Amino acid sequence: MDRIIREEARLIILRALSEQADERLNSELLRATLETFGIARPRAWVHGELDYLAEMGAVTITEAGTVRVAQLTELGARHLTRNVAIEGVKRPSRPEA
Amino acid sequence: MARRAGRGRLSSIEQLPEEAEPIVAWAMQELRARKHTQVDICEEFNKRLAGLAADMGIEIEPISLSSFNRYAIRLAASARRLEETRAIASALTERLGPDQADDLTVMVAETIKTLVFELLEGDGDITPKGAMELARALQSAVSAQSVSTDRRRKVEADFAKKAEDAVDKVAEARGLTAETVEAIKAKILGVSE
Repeated sequence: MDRIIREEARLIILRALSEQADERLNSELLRATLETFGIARPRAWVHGELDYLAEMGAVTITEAGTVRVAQLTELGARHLTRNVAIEGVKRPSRPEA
Repeated sequence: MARRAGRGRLSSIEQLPEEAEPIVAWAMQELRARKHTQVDICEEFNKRLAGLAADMGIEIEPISLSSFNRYAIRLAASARRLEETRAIASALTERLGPDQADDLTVMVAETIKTLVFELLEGDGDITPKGAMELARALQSAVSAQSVSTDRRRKVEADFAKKAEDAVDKVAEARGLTAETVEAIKAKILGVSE
């Protein structure tokens, strides 16, 4: 159960980053974004998911005090276009014909 | 929608067991996709809840359409603010491409985004907490020894300028009074000085 939510959350995070002009977003706004998808978790939980994504090479992280700034990597962007599948991240749904 | 003070009563959706969370997340994505009516989504939502209840051998009351609607509206309002934030912040920080920015510039941009979001979300009482946390992080990074005086001045001036622009843009969008605008600026810029 927990796994499904985490995989879902990681995809939402990657999507949120890709929607930004600079493909970056800080963990506080990511937390707010997840909340709008019905995933209400503390910032520390978001940091855990960012760590996972960083480990998989989907994002890079800049520490900024109590907040972290994540940036989408090429690999993360390729996951969103379904060119690669990163383990532990939900796959985006297929585009409709 | 005006937000009430305090934590408010928990909605019936918030009181669902933890196992129902993926179903809630699914429903919110469906609503966001705008392909099915809310009534249909709510119906399917309750079907999935019933399935879960049967699997777990517990009882889950179906969620009423009005309760589902209240929850959806609350989340949609927040989603809209994030969307506005994106639009306003991208206008303010458009010169930063994904690849050409050092940590300090990144922090300036993020502080502005958070600031805009919190200003949009506030109800007049202005407490841009998250933005201040970021502003402090920026400040401590700037005052680190490795940053030259020139660079420091430039980053601080850049931040002040962007923060002022951000407040003006939000004021425009939300119709804030000149007085409020000045109060916010004083507060934000107080952090950077």
